[in-house]
Amino acid sequence: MKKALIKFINSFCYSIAIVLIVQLIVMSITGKEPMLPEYLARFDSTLKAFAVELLLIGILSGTAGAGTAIFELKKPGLVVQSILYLLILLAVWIPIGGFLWEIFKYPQSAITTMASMLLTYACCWIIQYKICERNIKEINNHLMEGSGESGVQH
Amino acid sequence: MKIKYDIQEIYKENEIHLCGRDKNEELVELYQGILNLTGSVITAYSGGEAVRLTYAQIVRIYSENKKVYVRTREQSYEVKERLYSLEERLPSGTFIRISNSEMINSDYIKRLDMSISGTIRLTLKNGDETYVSRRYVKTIKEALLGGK
Repeated sequence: MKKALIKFINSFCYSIAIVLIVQLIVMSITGKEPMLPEYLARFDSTLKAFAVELLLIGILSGTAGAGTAIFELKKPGLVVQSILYLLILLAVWIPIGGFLWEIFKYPQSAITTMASMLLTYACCWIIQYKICERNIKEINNHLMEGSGESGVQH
Repeated sequence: MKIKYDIQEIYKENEIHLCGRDKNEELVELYQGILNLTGSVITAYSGGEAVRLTYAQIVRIYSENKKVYVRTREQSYEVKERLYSLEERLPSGTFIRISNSEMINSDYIKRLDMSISGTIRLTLKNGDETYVSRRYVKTIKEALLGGK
């Protein structure tokens, strides 16, 4: 629980810092606020809209970071852990996405964002699985070599 | 066999290194003998009686229901120390953390198996089976293979 909280805080802070820098760069280049008009219309000032956006993105990232604590459990297995993690992400992403990026109003926005998120997730998952599989194979090969050469019996 | 002193200021405390081309039976016997000589033991309890166990006797250490247990080949004992406290004083290359609630003696690792669902089962030489958290697989690999 403590680890999950620390991960939440770290991810929250990092994401806010990154979004702040990116938004400032975009604004300096385009001269416009990189936020949807429908979202801006909800606030009486751009600064408030920006602050709320930062907070919500921070919460989204914090949840993504804290959720990785699931993968530190021995059980359930990686497949169930991955499904749980994805469900947690979606539970937070869908309402925030609806509020910030109007994903319910613009289906193409929802589809492309969801597709890119799932694709990224699937790639990361496959890579992690394969790395773990390779590490286990190397460990077992080493153990078999060790017991064969030395003949040490326990 | 060569025996020599290695006196250097880089050592913060006394250390004993056993060097060889491979981890053969002679080295393992020396290792266990030195553990006994240096008093590298843990006090454990079974049925109210205190027992002194050498590190070499310990197969795994795990926490369950807020208590910490030590498992040897024959049986399990309760210890009065916390897992993190044991982790600090046990030789780190030999005792490896495999999850938030368990450490194992790497000398007793037989093999690891990963199921299609991603569960990683560790089989020990005494027949015990336990499960490894995925994030600790790399730790096990580094402890067994070194820097390879």
